[in-house]
Amino acid sequence: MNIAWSLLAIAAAFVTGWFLLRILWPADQHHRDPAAFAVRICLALGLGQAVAAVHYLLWRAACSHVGLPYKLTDCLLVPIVAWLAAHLAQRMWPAERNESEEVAPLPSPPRLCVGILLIVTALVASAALCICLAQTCDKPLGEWDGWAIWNLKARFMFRGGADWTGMFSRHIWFSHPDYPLFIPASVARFWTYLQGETTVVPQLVSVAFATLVVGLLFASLAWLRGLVPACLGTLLLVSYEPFLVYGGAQMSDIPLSFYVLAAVVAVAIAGRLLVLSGVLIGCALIVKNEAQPILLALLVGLFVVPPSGGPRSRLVVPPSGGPRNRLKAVLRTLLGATPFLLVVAAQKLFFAGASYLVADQPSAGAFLHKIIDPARHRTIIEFLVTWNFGFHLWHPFWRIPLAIPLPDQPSLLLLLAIPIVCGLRPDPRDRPAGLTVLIAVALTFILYYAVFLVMPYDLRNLMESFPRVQLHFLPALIFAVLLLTANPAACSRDR
Amino acid sequence: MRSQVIRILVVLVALSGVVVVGRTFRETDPFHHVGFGAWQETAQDRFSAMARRYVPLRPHLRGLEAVGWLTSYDHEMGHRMMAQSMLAPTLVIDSEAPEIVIASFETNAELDACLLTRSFQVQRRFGEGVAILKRRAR
Repeated sequence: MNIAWSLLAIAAAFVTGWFLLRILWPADQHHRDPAAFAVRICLALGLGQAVAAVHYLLWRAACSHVGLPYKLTDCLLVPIVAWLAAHLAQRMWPAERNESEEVAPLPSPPRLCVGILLIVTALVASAALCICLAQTCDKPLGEWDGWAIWNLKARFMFRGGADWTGMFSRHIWFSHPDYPLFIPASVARFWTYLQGETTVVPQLVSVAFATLVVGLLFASLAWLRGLVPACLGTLLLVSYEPFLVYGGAQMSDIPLSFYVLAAVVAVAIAGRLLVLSGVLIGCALIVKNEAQPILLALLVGLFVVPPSGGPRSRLVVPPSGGPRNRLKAVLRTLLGATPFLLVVAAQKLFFAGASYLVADQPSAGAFLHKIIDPARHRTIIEFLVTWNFGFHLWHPFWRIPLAIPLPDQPSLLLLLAIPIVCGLRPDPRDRPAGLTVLIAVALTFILYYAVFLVMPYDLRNLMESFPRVQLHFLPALIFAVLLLTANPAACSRDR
Repeated sequence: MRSQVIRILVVLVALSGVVVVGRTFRETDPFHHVGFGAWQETAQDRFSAMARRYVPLRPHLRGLEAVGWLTSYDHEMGHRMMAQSMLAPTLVIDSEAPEIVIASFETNAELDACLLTRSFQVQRRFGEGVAILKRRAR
C-alpha cells in the first residue's frame, strides 16, 4: 500500500510538472520531434519534483502533521490545480501553429558511424549509471555532506513533528541551517508516503538526478544540434570523474547541475520560455545556495546578449538590442524565479539566520585582507590549473620503462579541442543563447572564485571540493560549447 | 585533412569516455553490490560503521529535546555529526550540562576511566565505548 502511495506521488509530481510546463512552454510543432518530447519529459520531472518539495515544505511549516490530508492534496489537488491552470492558459493564449517553423533536419554522416557512436554512448552512459548505483550501494548513508547535512535535515522533517525546526538550532551549526531544503524535503516526502525511513529513497533521488542530467543533455543537444553532438556531450559529461563519484553520493551538486542545465536549455529555446528559464533557475535556488550567483550570472548574460527572435522562439522577446528589450528579458527570467526566491528568503529570514560566509568571518576587514592576499590567489589558481589541466604518467607495460603522459581530466581538454578543430559555426537561431550561456558560465566561474577567496576556512581543504563544485555548471558549459560549435557530423561531410 | 582530424577528435572523446568510465567501473565493481540487504547489517563503509554505533540509542532518547555529548574523539567532529544525524530530532549538544548525556569513547575502558572523574551514572551501555549517561543526584 505504501509503495502504491509512493508511485502515485511520483506520478502526481510528474503530472503537475507536465501541466505547468504546458503553461510555460505551450505545445507546438516541437511535440512531434522525439528529442523535444524527451526534453519535455526531463523538464516536467524536474519541475514537478521541485513543486512537490516546495508543497511539502509549506505543509510542514503551516501544520506539523503530514497525514492523509497532505497526501490527498499532494496527489490529487495539486495536479488538478496545475491541469486547470494549463487549461485556462491554453484558452487565454492559444498556441499558434506555424508549420513553416519546423526545425530543419541537420545533415548526418553515414548511418553506420552514427550508429556505432550511439551504441558506444549508450554503453558508456549505462556503465556510468551502474557506477553511480554501485557507489550509492557502497555508502548507503551517502558521502559526508549527504548524511551530515541533507539526510540529517530530512530526518528532522520526517521524525520531528512539531520539533522539525530543531534543524535550524545553532547547536548544530555544522549542518548549515541556511542551506536550502529541496533535497531534504524530497527525501522526507517519500519517507512520509512509505511511512518509514529507508536509505533507498535518498539513494534513488541521487541516482535519478544523475540520470536526468545525462538524459536532458543528450535530448536537448540531439534536438537542437543532432545526434553526434548529443553523443559527444554525453560522453564528455560522464567521463568527468567527479560526476561518477558524486552521482550516487546523496549530495545536492548534481540536482543543482540538472536545474542549471534545464534553465540554460530553456534560454536556448528562448522567447516566452524565459519565464520557464526563470522558474527552472528558481528550482535551483531551493537546491543549493550556489544557485544565487548562477542566477545573477544568467541575468547579466541575458542583459548583455538578449535572446533574439527565431523559429525556436515563437513567442519572442523582440529581436535583440535596445535596453528596454534587454531589461524585459531579465525581468521575465526574474519573474519566473520569484516564487522560489520567496521560499528561500522566508527560510533565511524566519528560520536560518546569516550564512557562514558572513557569520564566520572574524571581522569586516577580513574580507578585504583575504581579497588582497596573493597567497590565496596562488593557492586557488594552482589548484584549478593542476586539477583541470594536469597530466599523469601511464605505464602501459610494467617490464618496459615506457611512460605516456595522459591528461587527468580528458573531458575538459577535449571540450576545448572541439570548437578549435570544428570551428564556431552555430545555427543563427542559437547564437544569442549560446553566448548568453557562455557569459553566464564565465561569470559564475569568477563569482565562485571570489567566494573561495573570501571563505573563512582553510583554503587548501576547501579547494578539495572544487571538482564537484565545477559540476554545477559543467553540463551547461558542454551544452553551450556544442551549441556554438559547427556540427562535427556536418563538418566531416562538407570536406 | 580537417575531416580526418574531426573524426580523430570524435574517436578520442569516445575513447576517453570508455577509458574513464571503464576504469571506474572496474574499480567500483557494481555487480558485487547486487543483492545487498539492509545497510545496518551489511554496509562495510566507514560512515555506516560509525552510524551503527549510534542507531541503537534512538529508542531510548525518544521525546527528549536535547542531550549532551561526552567524548574522547576530541579532534573528530564526525562522530557528533553522525550521532546527530542518527538521533534527530533530539539535539546532540556539545556540552556536558544536560541531564542526559551521550558518551562516545573508543573503548569501554576509556569510558569507565572517564566516569571516575565525572558525576554521571551509566543509564545504559551499548558496547564499544558508547553509553547513555545520567547526571548523579547530589
